[in-house]
Amino acid sequence: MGNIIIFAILGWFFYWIFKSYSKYTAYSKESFKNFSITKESLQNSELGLFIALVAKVAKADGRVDALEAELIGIMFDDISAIFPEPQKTKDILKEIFNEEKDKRENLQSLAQTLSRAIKRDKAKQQQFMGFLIQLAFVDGELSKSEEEILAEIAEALEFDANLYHAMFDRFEKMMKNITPKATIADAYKLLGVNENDDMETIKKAYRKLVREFHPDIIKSQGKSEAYMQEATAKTQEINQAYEMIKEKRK
Amino acid sequence: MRGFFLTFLLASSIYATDMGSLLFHGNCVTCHHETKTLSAPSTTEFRQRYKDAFSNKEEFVAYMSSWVKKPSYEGSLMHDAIKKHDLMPELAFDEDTLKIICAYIYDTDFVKEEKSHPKR
Repeated sequence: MGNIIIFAILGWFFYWIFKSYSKYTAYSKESFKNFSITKESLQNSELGLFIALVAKVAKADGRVDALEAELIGIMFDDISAIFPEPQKTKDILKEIFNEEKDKRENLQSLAQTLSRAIKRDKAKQQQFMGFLIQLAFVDGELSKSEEEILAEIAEALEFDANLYHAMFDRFEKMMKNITPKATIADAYKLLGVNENDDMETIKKAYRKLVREFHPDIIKSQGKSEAYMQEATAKTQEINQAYEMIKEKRK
Repeated sequence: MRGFFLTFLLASSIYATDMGSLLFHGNCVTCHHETKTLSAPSTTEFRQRYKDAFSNKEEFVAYMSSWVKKPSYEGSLMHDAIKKHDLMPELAFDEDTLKIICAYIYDTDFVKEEKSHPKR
């Protein structure tokens, strides 16, 4: 008899826990129902600040070229995919990008705000800095204005000067070491297409490869600096092969 | 299968708009503001002029991109604007990039877009 009473009490107890839990989930669902991402919240977040810096680096040499636009577009996809409202997030990211790209005067204050937000996270600082360096190098050569903006950001982020120069040098060296494919046949092979394929097919193959191997700001979390470098090198190779084929077919 | 094709088409066209939007906003609006005439005719203005001449998207894109590749007074649809602002400089963008931008311009109603982002 005693056992039955104990089981009954236990049974009721578990029932009570489950019931309150389901009430709780219903409650939290209800309270987050109208939660929606806003431009203001994103703008002041790490990611928003980072996008603003990306915009300034991308536009530093006065133009946004096709590969830069391609990589930034893919980056918007990567970031917005982790938010509950991807399309809305992407639109906001684009808006931030467009507003910030030509503004030079707030570079320092934005970088300082970002610096405060990620002060304790050395890995993240390195990840962000690596992405910005990569972006400056990606359009082939580094202009003076790109170099200046990068240095200014590194300083405002209070990024270790020695580490910055070391990273910078490694990227520079790596870019020099990418040799264009020796023959057009190698270029076709790298893109996985045939000499007889039309340009549309080749373009598709090219874009698919860039999407697959691009430097991914989300995936790079927790990875070493080498990840960003390898992805940059691979993207360069793919791009050079594509440029070579385009040139040949002119 | 049809559903798959539809989503595929949709995805690729959204993707192209992204590229076009980034390239357009990254390179053109400094001189060709969406709706206001600053140092050059507004995008809305030349878009309309081109649309009047070429209602077909392919022709619109082909003509505009080859003109921007090598701007000339003779080939221009806007002699009045050239007299006022001078000929557009040659910007050395490759043809692919120009085509993506022109397609984006054809597809985008900039007046409507500005209304939905009143702050800009």
